[in-house]
Amino acid sequence: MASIATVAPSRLAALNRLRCTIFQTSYNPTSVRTGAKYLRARLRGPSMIEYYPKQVTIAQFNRMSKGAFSIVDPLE
Amino acid sequence: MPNIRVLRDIKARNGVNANEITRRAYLYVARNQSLPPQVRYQAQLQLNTFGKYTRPTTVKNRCTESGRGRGIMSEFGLCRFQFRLKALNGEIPGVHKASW
Repeated sequence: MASIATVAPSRLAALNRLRCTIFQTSYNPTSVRTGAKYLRARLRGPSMIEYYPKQVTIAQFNRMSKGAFSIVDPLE
Repeated sequence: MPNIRVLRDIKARNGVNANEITRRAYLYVARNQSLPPQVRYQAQLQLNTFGKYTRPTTVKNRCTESGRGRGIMSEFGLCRFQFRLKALNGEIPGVHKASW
């Protein structure tokens, strides 16, 4: 029995392929770039649009009060 | 009424949110080395047609009070002066003057 395991690289590659089929991971022995990282990453859009607090404009306020209050916008 | 730059930033954020998934799809095709180069090139050309209000790099954290672009502390969304004003007034929870 060899003290250091001298396993043929083909057998190691077969073992790796088998592992990937068992654990359902993707098999990429040559580390070729598949672009999967762009699909894997979480989406940043929803957190971006929640950055600024929602501000009620005067027109919105008038619409919401349905004619009860109507403030005139001095800038308009 | 917020700053014009804040309005542009809001427009960029909305555009990024709307197009994020399609951008990611094109990026995946363009950066995939196991696809033929013509397909990758066409995907990259399609990516180039997206306008600036769809790119996430155009989004910048601005001060939510004053609209300042520099000196923003992202934990509070405020520029350094607005942060100071509010903190001294006690309007930011958990922030007090340091002494140790």
